[in-house]
Amino acid sequence: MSGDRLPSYERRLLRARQSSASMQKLVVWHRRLGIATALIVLLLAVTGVLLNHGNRLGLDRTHVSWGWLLSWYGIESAQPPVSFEADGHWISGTGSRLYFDNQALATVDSRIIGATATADDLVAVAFENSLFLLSRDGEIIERLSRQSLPGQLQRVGLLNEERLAVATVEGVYVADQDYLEWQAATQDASWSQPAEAPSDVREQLMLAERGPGLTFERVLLDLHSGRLFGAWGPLVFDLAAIIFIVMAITGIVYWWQRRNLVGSYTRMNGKSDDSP
Amino acid sequence: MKIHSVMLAVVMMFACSSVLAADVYLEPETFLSESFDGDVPKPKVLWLRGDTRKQVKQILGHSGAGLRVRYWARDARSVWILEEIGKTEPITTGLVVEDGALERIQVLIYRESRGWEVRYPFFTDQFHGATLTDLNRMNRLDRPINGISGATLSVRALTNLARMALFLHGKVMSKEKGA
Repeated sequence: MSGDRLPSYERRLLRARQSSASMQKLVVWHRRLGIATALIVLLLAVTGVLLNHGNRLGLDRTHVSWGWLLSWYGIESAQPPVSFEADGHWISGTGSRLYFDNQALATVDSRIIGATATADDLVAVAFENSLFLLSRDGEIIERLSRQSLPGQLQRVGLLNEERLAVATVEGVYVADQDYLEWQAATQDASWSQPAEAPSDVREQLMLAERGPGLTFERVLLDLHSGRLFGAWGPLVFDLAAIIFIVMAITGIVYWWQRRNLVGSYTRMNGKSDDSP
Repeated sequence: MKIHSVMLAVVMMFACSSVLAADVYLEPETFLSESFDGDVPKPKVLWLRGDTRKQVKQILGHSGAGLRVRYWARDARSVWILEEIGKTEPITTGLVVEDGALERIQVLIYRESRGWEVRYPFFTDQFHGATLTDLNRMNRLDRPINGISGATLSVRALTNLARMALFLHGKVMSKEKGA
């Protein structure tokens, strides 16, 4: 018996069953796509909320200090630190900064030459163009610039284990008691020598040098757009966006068809009940 | 590839900034010599302790000035070579103070990438004859200093150094009178 010849009640029932079968397929695919993209939805939602409040949370001012993430971004220290031991502390220079243990003290514009503890409880740190006098707690007492030095510095050390001495191209000079003037010396001094700082100090210095390059906001933006995952990341996120559009459409279609189906069954059940 | 391009640009930027040469407009030794007509006195130091340190911190807005400052003085004249960070790099500045008034301010070494206009006389001449007003211990200059567009931080750094030199000059002179 063809569908056209069926009574209207049965015809409606057949159409409802066909519609129900196609709706089942729609639901199955909607569910599959939902599960496949759930992780990306969560990622987008969390990063989106954080980015919306990034300024208030200070994410644009907080810098990443995780070595693996900085390496992932290709941010490496421009110059490995050169360290000297003085009075139980590690004095390091990286070409742009002076560090006392792992604490950044000042910006510098030349290479570190050496560091030595003086007889009057100071630590003298020499760079090519400047010399720092520090307290033994790492506080800057004075930074001697070029006009207060006998020339471009090559080495720093102690003469007779007492007086601060520096070597320049012109020769060796020793400082007076107040480090105000320099006198040429005929004797050689015991010069400060670089040493390898402990691995934890080295690691902290490398992190401190690389840290200011990357903010958490940048990482979140790259996570939100998929760029953090390399060249394929944005394509995967684009595909996920298309799936979201498909899911939104299938969701509406499912809701519409279900609404109609429920209406049909209700009407059919009503007719059936009324039938003799 | 895009992220690698961005990272490369960042790394290049840092590399370039690290090799930016300092612009030496006047050697500090020459500035000292000019300030004392070729007869530079021996340097002296002023220790920044207690209230002096507190006021220097208030002038600069930070405590990074060190525990002592070097200066050169003869009679009522003192010369200071001070450094203050503009945006990221220190600006080396020479200042001459005589009888409590700023006689000369000169940018000696400039390391920032922008804001170098502060070295020109049209800006530095504004400081000529400036003194310090001790109103509520704020150590402000007795006149407003006109800024330069695009050099706000360098203008602020030089203004603060002028205030600091005048303040320290006052400390040195009162100390020498007491001695």
